[in-house]
Amino acid sequence: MNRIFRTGALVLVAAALLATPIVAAHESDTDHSHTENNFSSRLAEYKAKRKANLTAAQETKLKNVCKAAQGLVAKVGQRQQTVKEKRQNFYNNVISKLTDLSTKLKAANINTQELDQAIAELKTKVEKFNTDLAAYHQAIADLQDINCTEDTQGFKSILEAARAALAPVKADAQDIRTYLKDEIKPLLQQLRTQLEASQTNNEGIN
Amino acid sequence: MDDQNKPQETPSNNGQFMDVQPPKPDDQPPTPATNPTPVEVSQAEAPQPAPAEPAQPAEPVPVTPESSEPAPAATTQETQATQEVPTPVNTPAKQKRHGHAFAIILAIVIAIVLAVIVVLLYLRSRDTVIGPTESGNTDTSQNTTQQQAPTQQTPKATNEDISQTAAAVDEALSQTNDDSDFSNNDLADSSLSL
Repeated sequence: MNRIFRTGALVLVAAALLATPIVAAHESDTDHSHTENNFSSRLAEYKAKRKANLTAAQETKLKNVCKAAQGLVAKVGQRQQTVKEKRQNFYNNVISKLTDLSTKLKAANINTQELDQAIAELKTKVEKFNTDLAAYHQAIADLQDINCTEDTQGFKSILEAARAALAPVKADAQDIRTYLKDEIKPLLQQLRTQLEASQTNNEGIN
Repeated sequence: MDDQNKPQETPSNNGQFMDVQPPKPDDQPPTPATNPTPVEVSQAEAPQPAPAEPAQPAEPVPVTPESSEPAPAATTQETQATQEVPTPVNTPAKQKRHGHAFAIILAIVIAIVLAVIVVLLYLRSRDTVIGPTESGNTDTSQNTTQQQAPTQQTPKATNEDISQTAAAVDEALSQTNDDSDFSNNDLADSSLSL
C-alpha cells in the first residue's frame, strides 16, 4: 500500500515537473504578446506620432487642469459606449433583415446575386467602422488611465491621437449611411418590382 | 510397432553408422553437470518463500589454486553443481529488481501522459477563454453572417418582407446622427477646459 502511494506521488510530481515548463513557456509567449499591446507600448506609439513637445509653460498649465479634463473625457467615453451599442444594433438588424430577405427571395426563385454582393459590401463597411471605433474608444480609455500630472506630454499625445482616431470613425459612419441610402434602398425597390412581376406570372400560370 | 523400438542407425562423422537409442523417460542425463542434483533441489524448493537452498550461493565453495588440481570425479561434479546454482533466472532478488524497474517505467509513462493531458486541458481552457474576447467586435457581425441555407420549408419572400427590410434601413438612417455621435467638439480644448 505504501509503495502504491509512493509511486502515485512520484507520478504526480513528475507530471507537474513536465507540465510546468510547457505551460510556463506558453504563458510567457502570450504574456509577451499581451505586453506589446499594453498601455505603455501604446503610450510610446502615441508619443512617437506627436510632432511637437509642450513648452514648459504649456506643461505647467496642463498639469493644473488635466485631472478635471479627464473627468470630462470619462463622460465622453460613457456616451460613446451608448453610441457604439446603438449603431451596432442598427447595423446588425439591417444586415440580418437583408440576409433573411435574400433567403426568402431565393425560395421565390428571384435572382439575389446583386443583393448578396450588397450584403457582403455592407458587412465589410460595418467591420471597418467597428475596428476604427474600437481604436477611438481605446484612445479615450487611455486618456482616462494616464497619470496626467506626472506625464503631461503623454496626456497631450493621447489626446491628439484620440482626436485623430475620430476622423476615420466619422468617415466610416457616413460611408455606411451613403451606401444604405444610395445602394440598398434602390436595390430593395428593384427587388420589390421583380417579386411583384414574379407573383403576377405565377398567378397567370395558375 | 517393432520398428519404433529398434535402435535407429545414423551416419557418424566418419561415415559409419551409429546406433541411436530412443529417449527413455527413466534415462538420466549423461553428465551430472547439465542436470546437477542441487538444481533439482532448488527447483523443487523454489516456490517456498524462504528456501534454505538459496543461502548456498552466499557461501560458495572456495576455489583455490590448490583445488584446481584434479579431484575425484564425484567431488568435481558436486563443486560444479554448487557453482551453477546461483544462476537460476527467477530468483526472488531479481524478480524484485525487475518489479522495481517496471514500476519506475510505468510511473514515468503515466507521468508523461498526465503532463500531456494537463497541457492539452490548459490550452483548451485558454482557447475557450481568449477566443470570444479576441473576436471582440467581430463576433456580432459573425452572428449576422450566418446565412440560412434555402430549404423546402423556407417561406417565399413577400412584399411585406421587403417593406420590413426597408423599414430597418430607414430606422438606421433616421436614428443615427453622425455629426452629433462623432463630434470634433467632444475632445476639443474648449470642451475639456484645457
